[in-house]
Amino acid sequence: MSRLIATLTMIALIAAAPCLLAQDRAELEVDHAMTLDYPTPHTDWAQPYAGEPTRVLLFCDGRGTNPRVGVELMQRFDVELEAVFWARIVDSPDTHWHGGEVGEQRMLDLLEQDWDCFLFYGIGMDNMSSEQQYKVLKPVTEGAGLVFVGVGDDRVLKDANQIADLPPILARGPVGEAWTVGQGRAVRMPWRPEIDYYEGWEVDYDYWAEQLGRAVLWAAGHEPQATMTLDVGPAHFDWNVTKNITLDHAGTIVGDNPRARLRVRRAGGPSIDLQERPLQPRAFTWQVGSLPAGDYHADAWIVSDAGVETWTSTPFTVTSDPRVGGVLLDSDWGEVGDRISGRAIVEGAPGPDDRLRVGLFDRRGRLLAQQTTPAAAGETRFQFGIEPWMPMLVRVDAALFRNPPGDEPASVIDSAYAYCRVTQRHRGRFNFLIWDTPSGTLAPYAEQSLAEHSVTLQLKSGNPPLMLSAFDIAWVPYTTRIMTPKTEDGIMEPFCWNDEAAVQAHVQAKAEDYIPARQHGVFVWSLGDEVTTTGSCLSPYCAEAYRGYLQEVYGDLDALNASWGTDFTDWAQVGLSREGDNEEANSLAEGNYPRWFDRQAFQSWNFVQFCRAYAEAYSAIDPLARTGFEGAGRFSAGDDLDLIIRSNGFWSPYPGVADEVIRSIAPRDFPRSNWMGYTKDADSLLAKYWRMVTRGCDAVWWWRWDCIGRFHGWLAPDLRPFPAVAEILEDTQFVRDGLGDLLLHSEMLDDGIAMLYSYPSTFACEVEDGPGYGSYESAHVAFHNIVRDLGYQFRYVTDRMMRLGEFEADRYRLLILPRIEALGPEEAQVIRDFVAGGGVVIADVRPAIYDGHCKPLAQGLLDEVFGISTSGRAAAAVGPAEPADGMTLESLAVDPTVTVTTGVARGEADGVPLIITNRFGDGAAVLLNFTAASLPPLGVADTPAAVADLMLDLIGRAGEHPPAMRLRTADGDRLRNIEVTRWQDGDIQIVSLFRQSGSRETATVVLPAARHVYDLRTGEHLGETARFQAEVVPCRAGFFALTGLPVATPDLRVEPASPARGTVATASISVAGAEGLHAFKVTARAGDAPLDWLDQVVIAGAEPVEFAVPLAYNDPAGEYTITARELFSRGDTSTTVNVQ
Amino acid sequence: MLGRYVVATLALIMLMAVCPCPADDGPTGVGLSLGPAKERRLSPDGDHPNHMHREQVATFSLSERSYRIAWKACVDPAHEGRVVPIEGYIGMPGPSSANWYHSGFLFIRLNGHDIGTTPLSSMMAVESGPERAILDLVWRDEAANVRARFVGLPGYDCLLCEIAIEPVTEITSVGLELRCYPSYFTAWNRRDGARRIQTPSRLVEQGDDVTGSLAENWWAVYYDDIFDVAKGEGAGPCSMLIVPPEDGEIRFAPGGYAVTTNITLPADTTRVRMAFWDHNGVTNADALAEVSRRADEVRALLEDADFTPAPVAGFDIAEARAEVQRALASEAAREALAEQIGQMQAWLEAAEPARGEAPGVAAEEELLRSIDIYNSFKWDVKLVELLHEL
Repeated sequence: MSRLIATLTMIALIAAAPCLLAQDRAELEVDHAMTLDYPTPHTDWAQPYAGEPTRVLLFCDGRGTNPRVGVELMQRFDVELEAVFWARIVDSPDTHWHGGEVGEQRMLDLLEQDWDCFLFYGIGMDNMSSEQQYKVLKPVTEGAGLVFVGVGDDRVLKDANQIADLPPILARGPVGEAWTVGQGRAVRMPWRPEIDYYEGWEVDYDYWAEQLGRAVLWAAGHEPQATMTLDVGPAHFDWNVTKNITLDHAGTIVGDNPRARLRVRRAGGPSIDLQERPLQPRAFTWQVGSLPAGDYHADAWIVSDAGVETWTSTPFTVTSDPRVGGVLLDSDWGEVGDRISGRAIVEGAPGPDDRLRVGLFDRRGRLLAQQTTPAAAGETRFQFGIEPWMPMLVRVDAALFRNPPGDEPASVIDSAYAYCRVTQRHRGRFNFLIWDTPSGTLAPYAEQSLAEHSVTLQLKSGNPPLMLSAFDIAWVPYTTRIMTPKTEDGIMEPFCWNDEAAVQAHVQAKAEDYIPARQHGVFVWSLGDEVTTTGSCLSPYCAEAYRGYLQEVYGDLDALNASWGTDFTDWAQVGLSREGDNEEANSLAEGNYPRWFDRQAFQSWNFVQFCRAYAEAYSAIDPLARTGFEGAGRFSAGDDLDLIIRSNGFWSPYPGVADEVIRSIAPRDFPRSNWMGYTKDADSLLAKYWRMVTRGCDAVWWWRWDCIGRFHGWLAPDLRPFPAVAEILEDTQFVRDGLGDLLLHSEMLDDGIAMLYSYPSTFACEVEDGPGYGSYESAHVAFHNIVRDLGYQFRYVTDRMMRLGEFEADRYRLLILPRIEALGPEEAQVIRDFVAGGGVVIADVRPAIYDGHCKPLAQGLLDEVFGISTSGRAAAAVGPAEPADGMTLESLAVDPTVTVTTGVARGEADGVPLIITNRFGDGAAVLLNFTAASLPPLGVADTPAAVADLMLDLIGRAGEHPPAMRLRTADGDRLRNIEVTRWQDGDIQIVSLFRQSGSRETATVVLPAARHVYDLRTGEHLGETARFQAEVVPCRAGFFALTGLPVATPDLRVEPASPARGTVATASISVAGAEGLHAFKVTARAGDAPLDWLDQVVIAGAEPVEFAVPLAYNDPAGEYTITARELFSRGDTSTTVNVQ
Repeated sequence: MLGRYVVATLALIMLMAVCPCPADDGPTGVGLSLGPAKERRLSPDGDHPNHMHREQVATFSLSERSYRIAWKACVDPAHEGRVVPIEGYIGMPGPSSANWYHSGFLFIRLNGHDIGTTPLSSMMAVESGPERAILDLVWRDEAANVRARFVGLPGYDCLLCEIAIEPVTEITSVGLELRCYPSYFTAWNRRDGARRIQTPSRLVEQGDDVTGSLAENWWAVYYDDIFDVAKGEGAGPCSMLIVPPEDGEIRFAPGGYAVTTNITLPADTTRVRMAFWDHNGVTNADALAEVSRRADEVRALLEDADFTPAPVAGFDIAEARAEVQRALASEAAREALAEQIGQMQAWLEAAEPARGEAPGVAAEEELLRSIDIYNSFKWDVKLVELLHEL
């Protein structure tokens, strides 16, 4: 109850925070909260306790799994605990008391309270002020307790005050050393053991935590009033003899009805609870029969109606002859389809009926497969196939059994195991990635919490720890970080990217280092985050590579000379315009833009080639390797987006316009995402999350698993999700229930609207008068917003696609050219052909006034298409304009050089035509002779409706191509500031309505025809209708499914109907007459117990899709219910099987 | 000294008691946290290529909103002992990023020279607690020692400010410039606004450039007719209030983007008190009503309150001397803290303030630093003695 009160107090404090001392303080309370919200396996050593509760103030490093020690203590003992964290400041090498001055004030406030014990876990008092130290030590001298773990303090723990004869509660183990400190007590314990992941690691931790609890209770003066001992005689037993364990006790029993309990267990082995007995006033003995060989503890408690009176634990060892000498795997990893094989070693003399069983177990202890043979001394070979349904970590366990009745062995003599990893990459599904992995003794609990809270991938430098396999999490190795350090001579360090020998030696060594990662299963291979994505140097290697690049680009030297204005006679002469000018800044300054641009383009190309060297090395060890980089690369910062996407295996930039290009041109299986986690409130975080979903990402990447301070990790220090994370998990649950995977199987629509990404234009917009027209990126963003605000969608195409003949002209009705100032002749011809063939082009200012190398042109390459003539290049004329009758805009950035030839002009600004429409062949071209970015945004309230009408008229071609759906406000006006994204799933459309920021609003959605509408957030069927209401909630995307027919009940079958344990049943789902694919969340129960091993998303349509139901040998028999919940309707379909 | 502080505090508490408090539960305290100074290299492309920039931010947590005060400047050695504010040096990054400008909202000019190019001598949170919180920024400028003292009070949703000037040379002019972006960064977002300034005597509109007496324009609400929370746009208005000297002048020049206010004070001004509001999330109408309703009360508070920090007001030199004597009597303290004891003795011998006079800007800055050291020293002694007794 006291914990409940403490928790309620904390919640109240947080809720009332705005009215209390400080918002920062409220956040500190959230950060420091030690809740029991994420329980883990533990022994209730003294919980509930017959003695007093103990109030503990914990001081520890707030990072990683250190703080969790407080929760582990609270779980096991009647402890009320608050924490004070020492922490590293984010993005800084500095450390401080978490919260800085506010944190220190919080500490002082806590030190004003009464504490029974101060626990210094891994940190001492070195970083405390004299006041803080005094306020710890003064209460100790007056009777409180002090426990140091892994640290000490000679000023406090004086030799003269050390207790030579440890009290029994500390002597057992032993726990550590003890002192008196005035009237108080102190204990110094060694640092916690480093416990890796293995079978039963948590049991070993449980005994260490028990020692910590004893130290705390003794130091606090709250040790049990009674004592007890367990006598296990010689402490060594043969496995099959009767073991006598004798309990004796002394001291005072506080409560009524005292009883004695005994438990025998070993790490990774059985835990045997013996029958509880009324406590006798004398010693008495329990008898334990056969036990498998191993190291055990006998744990005993005296429990009364008041709680645990006292407890003890005594180790003993069980040995056997024969015994299992080990399991030797031929390989400790394998891909699906490979085999798990090896030898089990039996030592000694097995009995005539003894058997050897080699079994494959999952993390949960389920026996997935087994091979049993008569036991014989020596080696016994075994072999299993690796099945697709197998978990990523399989325990290959060899056990000797005696007197097996039938197939069910009775008594285990001895066993040994080895782990085998099953390589899984987790591709083709919607993932959630976390930066970094937990470390420290409690890391597996943190990992489990991550796995239970949606994490499926983790990224870190190095190879993955074994626990990731245990929790089925695939790996993203952060193998390097490509940067461009250079010597004083301008040579890249440690080697030139084009020094083939050095590069090969480097990447191959790197690949060797990462072989364990490859064996684990790599989702993608990362070349780092925040990397430098362009680069070259002044080495001869780079010079040669540059010449090679230029030869490939220009073909012949004359073309290069013509472009650069040079007169080279041999390619060997080609190089930088000025020695040491790696960037060709000289050419830029002189106005030789082609020579400058080519160097910039080379630097992007050069980076990509360097990435490819890594990719090839990783592919050599991992044939399915996908290599790329993350958190770097931008839309208009010199990166050739098309080239990066073509050449890399994945790319996860920070959120930006590059995402639009990736979603448009990358193959669907090209992994892409954004990093997020850089704010702390749920709304702003959800806006990032949903933007990723609506931009076609296949994962969400979060920095990082733990963090307090400037950002928040996915998990709080006590390993629960932070409150904002809990809200994110709730809001996005339907993504994990199938939407995420279903979108990967659906096609994002584009309404026949293409937008051109032109790499040279990113540079052309930066020269001469270009910047005066705004940035290249702002023009694109403006067109994105115009298209989206009007309810349309679009897709990028690129200049390279046009050069390579990949532009599918038939697919599009409209091509938008935002600030496409630089264009090659091939691309220009493709555009001409597109319009001549009936397409429509809309451009804003200055189309194709430079060539594909940024060389100024006398006449725009597309002037004929637009029906205009330009009289040279000039600065933007910014001022009032009247683009249409009755519409005056205060400030448009206009190109004053344009005159009309064959086009028809509308509107003018100081005599300059603003909108020119020109028929060209069977199509038309529209020039907005002003920057799209200077047009008032359509999404905001004060932009006149006429502006939207004008743009709708242009994009919709006078109503010929209306938006697929219209969104209205309560007043019937066009709903502003809304993104409508549609995906096609067969004949089904999935629609998202997303407002990234703004106010909540109810929208009326008007469809061209009635459809069955399903609200995916609620599962509500809104009926067959052409009009429905949708609540637009800022930062949170709404999703709807539009179907022609009501969602039909799926056919869910499992064959056979009565599968035997140890077999794999086959389930299938299909939807008769399905119009497209449906997502099903499949779960299972055995009776009332949920089976967490069967929890997956299945995507199925009219054709049955099968999935495995692997029944373990040790699963319970009986009726199993398998349920498939359909995403759109949230309808459950269940079937039962009778497991034999 | 202590008595004066008690009286002033009681007066403050009484004032607070009669003031309506925005929170139902009444005033509960003010938090103040001062973050560490953070340095970063500026971009190689700007006016200060690769120069070192320093910024330090303090956060006042009032009952309704948190105000943040920042000091920032380019502190690169290239400036040879001076610092160069990039856009300003006293910024208000919160409650909202708009309104009082995060990178410089307050400029102090003496003899036509801005003190912002003088390195900051100290930025200290000198008081924090249930009654109030005080932040001091001190400059040792060649013309004067200047202190900008910001004060947060429970129950008040504005931040009070006292500028103290301790002349070093003859001061011939004193000026303040205020800069705000009411409610919204219009031009940055390519939006047009309609800036307005309401004072007790006039409404100033965007594009106007008017000068008036400070006495008739002693408070001002800066708002935007387009970006009004009532219309679902913008952060809300901001306001200022000044205790006007007899012949001060104020000039309002609300542009379409930044809104500047220039205040000319008498040359002999040594103290000026102001209040700043960021009405984050408040409609124009509510902010106008709130300021006009509470202006007299806030002005009275500014005129009467003693802003001497509690550590200074409560400092008892006799007690400090006794503490040092006690430490000297302790063998353990003498042994462990010999150096500190010596420093304390030297300070106490030299530090006796003139009776009945408040310390000047520089003296108070020194005193606050010394009191801080002294307070640590007291705990050092207590700790040493405690450990010795073990």
